Amino acid sequence: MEKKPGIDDETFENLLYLSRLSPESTNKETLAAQVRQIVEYFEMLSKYTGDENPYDAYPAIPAEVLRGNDVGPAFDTADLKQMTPEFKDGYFRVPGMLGNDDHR
Amino acid sequence: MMTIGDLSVTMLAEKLASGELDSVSIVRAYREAWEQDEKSEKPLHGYIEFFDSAESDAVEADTARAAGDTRPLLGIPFAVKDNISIKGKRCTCGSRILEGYVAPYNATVIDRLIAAGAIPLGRTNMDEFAMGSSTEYSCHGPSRNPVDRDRTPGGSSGGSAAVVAGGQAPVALGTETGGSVRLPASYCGIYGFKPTYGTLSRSGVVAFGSSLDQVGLLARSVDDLGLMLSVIAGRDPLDNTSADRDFSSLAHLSCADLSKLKIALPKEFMDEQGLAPEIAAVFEETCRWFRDRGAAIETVSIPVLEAAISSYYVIALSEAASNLSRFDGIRYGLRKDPLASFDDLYVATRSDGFGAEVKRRIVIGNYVLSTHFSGDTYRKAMNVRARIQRDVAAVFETHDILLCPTNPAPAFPLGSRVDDPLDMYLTDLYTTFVNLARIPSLSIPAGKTAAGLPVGVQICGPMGGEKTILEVARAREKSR
Amino acid sequence: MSGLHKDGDLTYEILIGCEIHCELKTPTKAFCACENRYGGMPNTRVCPVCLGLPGAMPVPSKEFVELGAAAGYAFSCGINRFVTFDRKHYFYPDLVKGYQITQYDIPLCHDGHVMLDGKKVRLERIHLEEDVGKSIHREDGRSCIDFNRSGVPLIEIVSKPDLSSPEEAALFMQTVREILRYIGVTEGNLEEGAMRCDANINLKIVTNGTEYRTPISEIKNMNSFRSIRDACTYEAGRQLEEFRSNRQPYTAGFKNTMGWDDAAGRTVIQRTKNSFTDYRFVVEPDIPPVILDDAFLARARSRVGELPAEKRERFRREYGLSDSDAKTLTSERELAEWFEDAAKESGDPGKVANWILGELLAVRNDRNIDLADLPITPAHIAALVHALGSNTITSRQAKDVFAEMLETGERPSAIIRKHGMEQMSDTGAIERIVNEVFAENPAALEDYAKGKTNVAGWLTGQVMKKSRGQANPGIASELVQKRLADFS
Repeated sequence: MEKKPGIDDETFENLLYLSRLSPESTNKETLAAQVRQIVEYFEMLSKYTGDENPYDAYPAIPAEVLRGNDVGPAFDTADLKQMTPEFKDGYFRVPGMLGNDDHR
Repeated sequence: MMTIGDLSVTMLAEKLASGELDSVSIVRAYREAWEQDEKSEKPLHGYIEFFDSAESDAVEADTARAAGDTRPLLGIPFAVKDNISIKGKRCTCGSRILEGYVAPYNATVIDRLIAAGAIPLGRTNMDEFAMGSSTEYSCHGPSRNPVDRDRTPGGSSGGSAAVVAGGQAPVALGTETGGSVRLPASYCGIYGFKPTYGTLSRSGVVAFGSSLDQVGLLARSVDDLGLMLSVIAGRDPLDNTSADRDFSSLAHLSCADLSKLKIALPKEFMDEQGLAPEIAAVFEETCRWFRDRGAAIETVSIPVLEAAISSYYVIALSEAASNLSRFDGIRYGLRKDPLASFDDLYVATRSDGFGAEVKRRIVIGNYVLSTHFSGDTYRKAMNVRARIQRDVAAVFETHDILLCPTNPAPAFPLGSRVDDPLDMYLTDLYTTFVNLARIPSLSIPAGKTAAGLPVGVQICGPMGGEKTILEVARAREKSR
Repeated sequence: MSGLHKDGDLTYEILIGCEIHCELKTPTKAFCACENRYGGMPNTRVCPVCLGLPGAMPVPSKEFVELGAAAGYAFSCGINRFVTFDRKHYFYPDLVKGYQITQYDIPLCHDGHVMLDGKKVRLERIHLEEDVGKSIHREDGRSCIDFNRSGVPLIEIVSKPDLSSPEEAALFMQTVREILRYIGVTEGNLEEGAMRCDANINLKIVTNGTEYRTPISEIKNMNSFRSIRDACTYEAGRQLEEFRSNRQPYTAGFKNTMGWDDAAGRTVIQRTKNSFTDYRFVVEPDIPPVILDDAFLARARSRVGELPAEKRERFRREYGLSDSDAKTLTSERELAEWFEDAAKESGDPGKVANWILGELLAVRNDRNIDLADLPITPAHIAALVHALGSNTITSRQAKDVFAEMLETGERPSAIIRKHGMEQMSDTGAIERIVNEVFAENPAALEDYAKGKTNVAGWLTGQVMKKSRGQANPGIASELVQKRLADFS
C-alpha cells in the first residue's frame, strides 16, 4: 500500500464517494493541503510507535457486567411517524434498492 | 447589587431553600436577560432555543418544594449544548442535516438532572457536530463572547460558555473531544471542566470522537461543578464506556492543603514558542501563587506529548467520519431526494446538509481510516495513544496535579480566523493530550490580559482524580 | 464425492469454502434490549440503538457472547478471551449506522473443524456480528425497509476451502445447522432466513503438466441446501467452460461476487455502480474490550453438552438400539433427553424406544407441537411400559391407555384403576369365569363333543368378554383347554 503524499484525481473521487459527498462539496486544493499536513504528522507517529499493545489504549471490562436478557421497550408507530414523513404503512421508504441482500 | 444572573448554582440553591427566591422568578429572570440581550446591537446568541417548558417546569418545582421536596437540584435551571438529547426537544448539533429532528429519548445525564429536580432552560449554540473552536461553524450563526462581543466565545461549546458567562444561565452542559469545554471557558472567564473519560454517560450525546468525547460542565464556581457531578456521574447500563465511579462526595468539597501539593509542569509545553506573552505571564503568576502557598512545582518531561496532536487528529477524524455515516436522511432529519437511486439520496442529503468544515473532516477522516490510502496509520495512532496514557499516568504516581496553559492566545475577533494550520495546531496543543490520556482537567479563570480578556489555566489530574482537581481549584477560589 | 475429476485433456479439483451467517437464539438483540423474534408487524421491535439514532450506543449482551463461544466449543475452536468489536463501513439503506458492528481483527473463535461423514473440514474462524434490516421492493421502484431484523445477533462461521464438491458444501451447511440447533444456539429456520450461506468456489486445473487456478467466485446469500448444491454445480461447470474458452487470470484476494438465480438455474454477476469499496475497519470505540474469565468459558462449554454423533454412538452402546433407531432418537436434543429419562425410569429402553418411535412421534408430528407441549412426560411412558411388562395390562389395553393419557395427561396407573383394567392374572378368578362361561354355554360343549374345532377359541373369547378384556388371555385359553380336555 503506497502512501501518497498528496491526492490525485482518482483518490479524490474515491474519497468523496466513500463519504457520499458530491464533487462540489469541497475544494480539491484545500483538501489536498490539509491531507498533506496530516500526512506530515504521520511521521511523528512512527517516531513514538514502540511495542505498545494498541489495545492498551482501551480499558477492558469483565464479562460479568455485560447486559442481561430483559427485553426493553420499543418505539410506537407514532414515534416513528414523527421522525420522517417517509415512514408510511409501517415501513421506511427509500428509492429502489437492488435485490434483497444481494449487494454485499 | 447581585442580580440573579450573577448567582452560582450553590447560591441559588441556598436562596431557594431559604425561600428568598422561587424557581419561577429565577427562570423568568434568565428569560428576561436573554430576551433583552436578543434585542441588543450585538446579541450573544448563546441560545438557539429558550424552552417555553422551563417556566412550567419551574412551577412544578416550586409546588414540589412547598410539599417538602428537598432534592439537591430542585428548581435549578441549566443550559444544554445542542448535541445532547432532550426528549421532545429539537437536537441539531448546529447542523442543517438534523433539521426537524426531535430527540425521542433523554440523554442519561439529562435524565439524572431532571430526576434531581433540575430544569432544562434551553439549547445552546455550537460548532457543527462539535468540529471547531469558535462556534463560527454553526448553521445557526455564531455566538459572541460576553466579555468582548466582537470576539468569539470559543468552541465548540461556545454557546454554553456565553450563556453562563453572560448571566443567562447559572450552569451549562457542554461536550469535549479535544478541548471544546475548556477552551470556551477560558475565553469567557469561567470554569470549564472535562471529567475523566467514562465519568459521565455518553448515551444520548451525539458522538463525534467516541473514544475521546466527554460531557463537560461550564460554571461560575467550583462548588457548582462538584454539586452537578455528584448528581450525574456514575455507571450507565446504556453506555459500556461509562465507569463505576462514586462521586457523591463531590457535593461537599473541602479545600486542598496547598502546602502538601506536588505539581508537575510538562517541559514540552513550556518550551513552546507560540504562547502569547500575556498568557505566559498569567500562567507564571499562577505558578507563583501556588509556590507561595507551599506547593512544590517540578518540571517533568513527557517526550511522547510531541506526538499527541498527530495521534489526536488520526483518531478524532477517523471516529468522526465513522460516526457521521449514519446521517443519510432515511430515518430522520433533512432529506434531499433527487428521486433517482438511493446512492443519490445519500449524496444529495449529505452534501446539502453538512457544512464545509464538517465535509472536509469527513473526507480526511475517511482517508485516515482507509489502509488503502494511509497504511497502518490508525494502528500507529492507537499505539502512541497507549504510550501517552502510560507515560502521563506515570507522572501522577509522583505528582498530584499537572498545570499548563489552556490556550496559546486569548479570544480572537469573530471572522478573523484563517485556516492557518499552525494556529490550529497551537490551539489544540495544550488540550488534546488530556482527551487522549482520558484524564480529567479543569480550566480555571486565572487572570486577564491588559485588554481585559480572560486567561485560563488548566489543572489536570490522574484518571478518577476529580476530587483532587476540584479541591485544589476550590482552595484557590476561596482565597481570592 | 471428492477428489480429482477428469474432463478430456485436463484434470481438476473443486475448491469450496463456505461462510455461514447464523442468527442466534438470544432473547434480545445483539446490542440493545429489543426483542429478538422473527416476524411481527414491521418496525415494531426497534429502539434508538437499532435504528441508529444520534447518541444511541451499542451494549452487547452476555448471552450473545456466550452463545458465540458455545458454538466455538461445539466445533472444537480456540476461544479468544479478549473480545473486541470492529466497525465495517459501507452505505446501504438497511444498515442504519452506515457501519456494521462485527469482529474483523480478533474473532471470538479461531480454527476448529466440522466432521462430515469422517472427513475433517477445517474452520478459519467464528465471529460475532449484527444483522441488518430487511427490504421489500415495490412496483413503483421504491423499497420499503423493516428494521425489526436490524441488530439481530449473528455468528459468521468461515471454513477453509476444504470442501471438494457441491454435495459436500450442502452437507456442510446441513451439518453445521444440525449441530447449532442441537446445542440451542439457533432455531436455524431456513425459510425465515435465519441461516444464509456464501460459497467461495474455484477450480484447480492441471493441463499439460501445468497447474492453473480459476478466479474465485463468491456466490452470496443462499438459504437452502439444494441451492448451495445447484449453484456450486453450475458455477464449477461455468468456470471450467470459461477456462477452456476465455481463460481468466487468478488474482489472490480478488473475487467475483455473484448471486444464484434459482429460476434461471444460473449464477449472475453482481455489479455496483462504483465498485470502489473500502470497509475501513476500525476498533469499535463504544464497546470496551471484554475479558472472558474461566467461569464464563465453563458456562459456555456446558451449553454444548454431548454432540449428536457422540450421543448416537452412546445410545447404540448403552441402550442396545439399532443404528436407525439411535439416529432418530438423537436427531433432536430434546427428544434424546426425553427418551433417556423414560428409558432410565422404566428399565426397558427397547420397549420405550418402540413406544416413542412407533406412537409418540406420530402424535407429536401430527399435532405439530413440541414434546414439551404434550400433556405427558417421560414418566408416563415409563409407567406404561412397566405396566405392560408386569402383565398388569395387555398390549391392546396399553394402546387405549396411551390414547387416554394423551388426552388427559393422567398417569397410566390412574387410568388403569379408573377403568378397572387390571389384567386378571389370578388363576382362581379366571377359573371362576371359565366355569360361568361353561355353565352358560351348553350348546358350545355339544359342538365340541361333535368335533367342532374352533370351540376352544370361541369359549376363550367369551371368557375374555365376560372379564371385560381383563383376563390374561394366555391363562384363560389354557384353562379353557384344560376344562375341555377334562370334559371329553
